[in-house]
Amino acid sequence: MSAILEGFAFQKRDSILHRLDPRVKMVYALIMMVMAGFIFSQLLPLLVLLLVQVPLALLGRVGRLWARTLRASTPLLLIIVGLNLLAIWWPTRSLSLYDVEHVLALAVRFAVFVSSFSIFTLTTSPDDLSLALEQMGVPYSFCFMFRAALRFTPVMAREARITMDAQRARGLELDKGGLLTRARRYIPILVPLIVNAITRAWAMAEAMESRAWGAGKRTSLYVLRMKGRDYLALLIMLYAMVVAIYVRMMVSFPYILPFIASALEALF
Amino acid sequence: MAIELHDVWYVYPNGVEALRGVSLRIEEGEFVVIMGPNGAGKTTLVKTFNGLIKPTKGRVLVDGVDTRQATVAELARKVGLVFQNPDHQLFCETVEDEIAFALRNFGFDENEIKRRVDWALKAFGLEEYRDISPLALSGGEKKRVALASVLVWEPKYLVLDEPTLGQDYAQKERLRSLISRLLGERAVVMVTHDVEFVADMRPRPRIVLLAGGRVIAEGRAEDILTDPEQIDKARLVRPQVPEVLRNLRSLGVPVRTDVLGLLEARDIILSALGVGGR
Repeated sequence: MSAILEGFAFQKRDSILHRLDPRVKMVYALIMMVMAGFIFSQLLPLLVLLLVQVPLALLGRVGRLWARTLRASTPLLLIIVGLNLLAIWWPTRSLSLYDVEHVLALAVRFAVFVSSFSIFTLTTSPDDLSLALEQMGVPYSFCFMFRAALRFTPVMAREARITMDAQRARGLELDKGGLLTRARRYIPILVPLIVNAITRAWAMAEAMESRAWGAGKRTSLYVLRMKGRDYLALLIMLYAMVVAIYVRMMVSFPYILPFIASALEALF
Repeated sequence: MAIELHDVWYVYPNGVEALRGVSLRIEEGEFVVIMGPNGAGKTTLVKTFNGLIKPTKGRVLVDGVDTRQATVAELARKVGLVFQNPDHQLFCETVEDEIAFALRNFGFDENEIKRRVDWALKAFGLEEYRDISPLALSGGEKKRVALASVLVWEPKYLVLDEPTLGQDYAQKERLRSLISRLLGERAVVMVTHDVEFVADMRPRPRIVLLAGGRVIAEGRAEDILTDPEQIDKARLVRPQVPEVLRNLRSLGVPVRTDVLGLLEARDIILSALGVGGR
C-alpha cells in the first residue's frame, strides 16, 4: 500500500517533463483519463495507451518509480478482474473469451488512470501544482489543502509503519491469521494514525494562523508563464486527442484474446 | 542465554546502509546503553532485537532462537521494546485497556491480567487515570503508560528507545530509579544521547557507541564517557563532571578525570585541594 503512495510522491529531478508548465501536465493527465475512460473501451487501444506512457516515464526520469506504482496496484487490478469475472459468470455459469477480454480491458483502463496520474504527480512539485491551481482561479485555501494532503501522504505512510512496528512489539500478530481477523487487527494502527493526523492538522493550523494565515490577499513571488515548449506539448496532446477520436470513429478494433486462441489452436 | 548479534548488516529498501557489521551480546540482567549521533543506526539496531527488522546479512539470536525463525509477536514475549513516541501506539479507550493490550495479545487469563494491570498502574503512579483515555494525558504521562504497557508482561530484555526525550528533570529522576529497580530481574537496554542522564546512572551501564552503522567503542561508562576523544567521535556532548575535572587539571589542580559522579568529583577535588574531610 505504501508503495502506491510513494509512487505519487514528487521526485525532484531535472527533465523535460519537470520543466513543463504544471498546467500542461495536468491537461495531459486529464486527456489520458478521457481517452481511457470515454473514448476507448477495448483492450487493444487501452494497452496502446498504457504502453505509450513508458517512453514518457523514461523521459521524465521516473521510470523505476512509475513501474513500481503499477506493480503496487496489481492487487487492486486483480480485485477488478476477479469481481467482474465473478459478476459475469454468476448468472449464466459461463464465460466466453470475449467476456474475459472485456474484463481485462477494465483493469488496463484503471492502470492507465493510475499511471498517467502517477507521471503527472511524480514530475510536478506540490508547490507548482498549487501555484497552477491558484492561477487557474481556485481559492487559495483549497490549493493549500490539496498541497498539504500531498505533502503529508509520505509522512502518514512512514507513521503507519512506525505504529505497526510499535504494536507488533506489543504482541499484535499481523503476520498470521485470516483476512477478517487481520482486518480487525488494524484498529490499533488506524486509531493512533488518525488521532495523530488530526492533532497535527490542529497544531499546523495554529502555527499558520500565528504567522498571519488568511490576513488578506496573497501575492505570489513566482508567476507561471507558458513557454514555447509548453504550447508545443499542448499542441501534440490536442493532436493526439483528435487522432484518437478519429481512430475511434473510423477503426473497429479486433478482439485479441479470441484471435490468440484461434492462432494457438491452429498451431497445435 | 542472551541476545546475540553476529555481524549484522541492514540495508533499507531505499539503499541506506543503516547497520554495517554490528556484533554485540546482551547478557541476562545486564544494563547496556547504546549511544551515538542521529542517524547512527541506534533505532534500527534495537529493532533487530525483536525481529521487527530482520538483518540483510548476519544473524540475531534471542536465547538461541534466530529472529528469522519467529514472528515479532513471539519474540516480543522476551524482548519488550518501548518506542520513542507514545503517540505512535496509544489507542485504547482507557489507560487500563491500553496496559492490558499486550497481555491479551499474549493470551494471559483475565485474573492474571487484572493482577498485573493493578501492579503496573501502581508502579507508574497511574492509578487515578485508570478509566480515562490515554490520549487525554500529558506527554510525560503518556510515556509512562507506554512504558507500563510493555513492562506489564515482564519481558526478560527491556529495550527503551530514547526514554528521556521530552521529559522534565523530575520525570528523568523517576525513570532513573525505576530502571535501577528493574535491573537484576531483567536486562535493560537503553538508546539515548542524553549523556548526563547516563553519567548519573547507578549501577553504571556498559556503553556501546554507535556511529555510521558500526560499533566504534564499547566498554564501561567510566572509561568511555570520560574519554573526550570517543565522545567527540560519536558526536555527543561531553559530560560536565569530567570536563570540569579536566579544566581543573589544566589549571594545575592534581585530579583524576575518569570520574562521572558529582559527589565523587567533589571528594576528589576537596582532597586535591587539601581540604579533606567529608
